[in-house]
Amino acid sequence: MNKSAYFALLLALTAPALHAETPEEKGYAIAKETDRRDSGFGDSSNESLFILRNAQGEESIREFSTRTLEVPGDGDKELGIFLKPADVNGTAVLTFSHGLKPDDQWLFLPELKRVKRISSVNKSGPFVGTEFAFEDIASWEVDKYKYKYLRDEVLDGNDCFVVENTPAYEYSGYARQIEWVDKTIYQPRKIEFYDRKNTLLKTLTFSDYQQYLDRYWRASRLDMVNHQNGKSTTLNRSNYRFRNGFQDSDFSESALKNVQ
Amino acid sequence: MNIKVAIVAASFLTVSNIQAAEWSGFAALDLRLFAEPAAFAEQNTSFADPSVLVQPEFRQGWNNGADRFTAIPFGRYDSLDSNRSHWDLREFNWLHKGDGWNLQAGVGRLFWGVTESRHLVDIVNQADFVENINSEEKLGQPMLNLNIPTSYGNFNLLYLPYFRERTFPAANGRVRFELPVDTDNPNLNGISHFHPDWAMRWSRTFGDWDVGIAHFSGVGREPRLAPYFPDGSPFPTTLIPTYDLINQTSLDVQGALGNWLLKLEAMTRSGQGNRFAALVAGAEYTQYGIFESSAELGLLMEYQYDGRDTSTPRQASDAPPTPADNDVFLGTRLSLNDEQNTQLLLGVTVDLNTQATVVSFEGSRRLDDVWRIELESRLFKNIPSTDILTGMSQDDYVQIRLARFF
Repeated sequence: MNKSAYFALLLALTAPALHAETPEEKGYAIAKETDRRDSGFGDSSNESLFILRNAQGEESIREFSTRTLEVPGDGDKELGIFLKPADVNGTAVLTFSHGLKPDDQWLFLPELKRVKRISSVNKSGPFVGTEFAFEDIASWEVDKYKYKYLRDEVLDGNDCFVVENTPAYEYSGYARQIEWVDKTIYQPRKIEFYDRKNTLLKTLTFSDYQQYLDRYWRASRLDMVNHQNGKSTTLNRSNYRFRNGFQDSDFSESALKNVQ
Repeated sequence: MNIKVAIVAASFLTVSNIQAAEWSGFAALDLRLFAEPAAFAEQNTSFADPSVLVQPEFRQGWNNGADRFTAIPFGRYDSLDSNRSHWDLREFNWLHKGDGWNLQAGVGRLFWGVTESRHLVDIVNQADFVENINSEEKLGQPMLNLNIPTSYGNFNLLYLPYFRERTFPAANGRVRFELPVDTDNPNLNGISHFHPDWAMRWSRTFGDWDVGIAHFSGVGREPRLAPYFPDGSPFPTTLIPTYDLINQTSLDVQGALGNWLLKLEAMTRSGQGNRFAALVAGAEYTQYGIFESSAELGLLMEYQYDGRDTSTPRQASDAPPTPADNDVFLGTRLSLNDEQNTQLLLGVTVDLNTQATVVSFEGSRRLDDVWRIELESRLFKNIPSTDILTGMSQDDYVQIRLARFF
């Protein structure tokens, strides 16, 4: 280690004690703490029920089952299987998330038994007609955003940090997000999404948090409201199971072909 | 001894965790409308061809999902074509997931390949050609299908103990060749239907690239079509589907680079005339969020080359004829990404030697949670008499499908 690097490290270690951290440093520290508290879960599975509502209030549903494998040092692997509506029953999506590097994603079409690669560019497109974009349901990684702490605020009785997240990955549909991070559980309570023109597009609220394995918090209900088209989607997540003993081979091409 | 068996059986039952049986599938009504009168005297003269089809799916899992039984029968009743009224077992198999491997035993289906306009490397299942000429509808294939995913890629080993012949339209059906194929009198060159075919495929992802290498050895799924001359007549009346033992080695590659998908399928085959090679290479460019909407628009272009012997007069031993010898495919795909999952695909394949042109259109839209409407059309333009597709020149059609999913 050369001398300047040594002093830089020394400065970094002692900096919090010497001077107040910048809003960027504080925002990043909050994200790091969120990541630290959520790491080590190993694997999980759950069921998702999307309830789509159009501007007239008409509803339709999408049902999805998800398996997730934590990959140390990289983004998670995820296998999602459609159950409803019936015409897409058995369709499956396999995603290898990465930090800043584009995710790898494959789609399995049961009618043809065919696996298709999906372009990783499609971040901002809607996920199966819901108000959730692909990037909203993708696995969250610290490196995907630049952070800036804005203020403290009490939201519905929960003490929160308010942080501005700016996507650092390519092809995002958002200029920025404003996130309310619960100070107690280090999980989001609300996220506002601003489109590329920096106009408020959507608001996502997280509710009914449950704790699993005495450590990991998961919201059972997510409500996404689109302010521009009047549509909304509720996502109910249930049946969380952790440490199922999933392996890499459960997230392989042959696993994708045998989901049904 | 008996007590031991009983204990083992009891413990098996208690740990086996039988899950609920799952029924799904669909039933549909197809209405095919032809734009022109039939070209051949034997063909049914009706312009409309209604038919009904049903494909129930049954699945039963046990052992916490480590074992699963699947049964998918398929049946169609067609008002015009006596061969198109048929049924098949698409799947009837037992899948066992082991530690680092899985084995499927029974009748199954699988797909190999990446391109859109031609399925060159997809060789395991026989095409159900009477269903659709695009080779995407396939007959169930008896198989032992072993998959071993490893960090060096996926190894897929297949033992295929029974050969299934291709289906073809009857003499009274439309969208057929100039001469009807006599499926009742195939020529297997003395090969038994129980010839032990085998295949293997290795596939692996290298970053943005997916690569597969495969080999097949056995009865070629694609028959030669030998003209049959009755009693020394100078005019053939039917085509005899003639099957050969072949060896086919193939490569398929797909790369995802930004908005581009790059695709390649290539193969070389021996056993049908001289050894030949063929390939399909192309790209798909997708623009997401067009016109500030959620819709995406894809542009597809693929080149098809096939080096099989096409010299005339054709020899009986020549490889099966193909329209895809030197062709270009251009297509566009529109996905609205709406609640109805509306999708359209329009493609045009042009033969660079003869300008023979096939236009195909596929569209689908969900009506509600259980109903879907689909539209399919194929137009045959400028097909010369030397092209295998010449018999379909007057068979331009539009098909409307109303499907109910369960």
